[in-house]
Amino acid sequence: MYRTINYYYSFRGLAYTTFLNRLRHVPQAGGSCEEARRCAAPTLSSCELPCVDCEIRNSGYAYSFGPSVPNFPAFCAGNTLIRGETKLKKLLVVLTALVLLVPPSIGQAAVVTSNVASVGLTMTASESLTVSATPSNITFTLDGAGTTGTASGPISVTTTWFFTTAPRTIWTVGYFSTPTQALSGRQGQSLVNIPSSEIIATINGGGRQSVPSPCNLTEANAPASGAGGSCPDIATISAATTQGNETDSILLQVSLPSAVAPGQYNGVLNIVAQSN
Amino acid sequence: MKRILLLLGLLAPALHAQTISPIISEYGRNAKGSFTVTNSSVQPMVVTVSINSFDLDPSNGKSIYRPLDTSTRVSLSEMSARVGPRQQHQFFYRVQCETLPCQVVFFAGMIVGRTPSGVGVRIVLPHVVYSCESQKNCRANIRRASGLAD
Repeated sequence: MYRTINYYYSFRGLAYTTFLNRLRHVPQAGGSCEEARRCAAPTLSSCELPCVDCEIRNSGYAYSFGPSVPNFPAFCAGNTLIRGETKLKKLLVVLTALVLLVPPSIGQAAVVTSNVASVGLTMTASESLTVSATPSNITFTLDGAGTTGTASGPISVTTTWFFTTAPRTIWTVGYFSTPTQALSGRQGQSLVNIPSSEIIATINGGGRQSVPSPCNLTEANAPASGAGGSCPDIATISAATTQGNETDSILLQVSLPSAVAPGQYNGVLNIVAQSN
Repeated sequence: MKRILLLLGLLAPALHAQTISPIISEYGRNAKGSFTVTNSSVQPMVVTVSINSFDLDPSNGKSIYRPLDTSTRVSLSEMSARVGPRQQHQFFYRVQCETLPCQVVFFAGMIVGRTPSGVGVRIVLPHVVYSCESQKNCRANIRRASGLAD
């Protein structure tokens, strides 16, 4: 009987029929059927129902049962449930809705395993060579005689490498593109040049290159340099590891054979770091 | 004040750092590639590219540069470019050599300092191209042919 009632709530139309069929098979045990006839659906016209002792109300129909119904207490207990139809129905509706709202994947997650998707990761780390020069320009202060210009400071050259193979060699060289015009300035309409041979370079404070040397070397290793435009090598780095850096310095000095005319003289020192 | 000067001193090398990548590229007969110049400074800079052929000095491994061989044809996407602060620029090229193997170097020059009185600094960084019949071990083969180790 409980099963019947439960079906009723779960599947209203089907259970209704089932419920009635069950009622028809209840043995008659006397009593009046008037009540049932009066309020029952047409399908109950056979008057198989006993006396009224408890009620079931469903969808506007009212059925009455008597103690002659087999297992009457249990049946009435079921009726009691039915009297609480509103709350129970709401609860069942909510539960049904929740079940319907649960994504099928949750139910299937335990038994269905997806394929293993693989994502390729690629990172290219190319070789690189970085050079920084600080400061990026220097000025010279001429002495009283106007023949010796002292630089505002050395140029610190940091070479940073990132190679795929080691060992490798890096050469860092400073040079003037046009050796005859390391520095140049205008005096009226004429151009006055200071050649690179009058620029003296000291590498690493004289530590590595013990003797300050003029920038009039011929260095085939310096690109686009005419003969006699290179300073002593700033660095020859034997890079034993694939990554590293080295800092060197080059200090320039102007050494003129005779005083130049007052004015502004400027030029550009090229610093090239190479690895082949 | 000392701390500020120390901090500036530490940061200073990074302010004017210029980078080229890759340094070396090996190709077969058809040398078609690119190199990238990175301006790590906080100021824009102009990059100019020059091209040289070179040989390897067997005594020390240094490059001996010379003007571009007439038998070598090089096409470059740009001969100069303006690179903004913290930006990089990619140059594309194609090198065709009538005689293989051949080697070419692109020099990317960047003026990082100017001064009306004194000496400014221009940084020059190379991108070396080796072209052979076969790309594999091209550089090593050229170096061996010049009497150098790999």
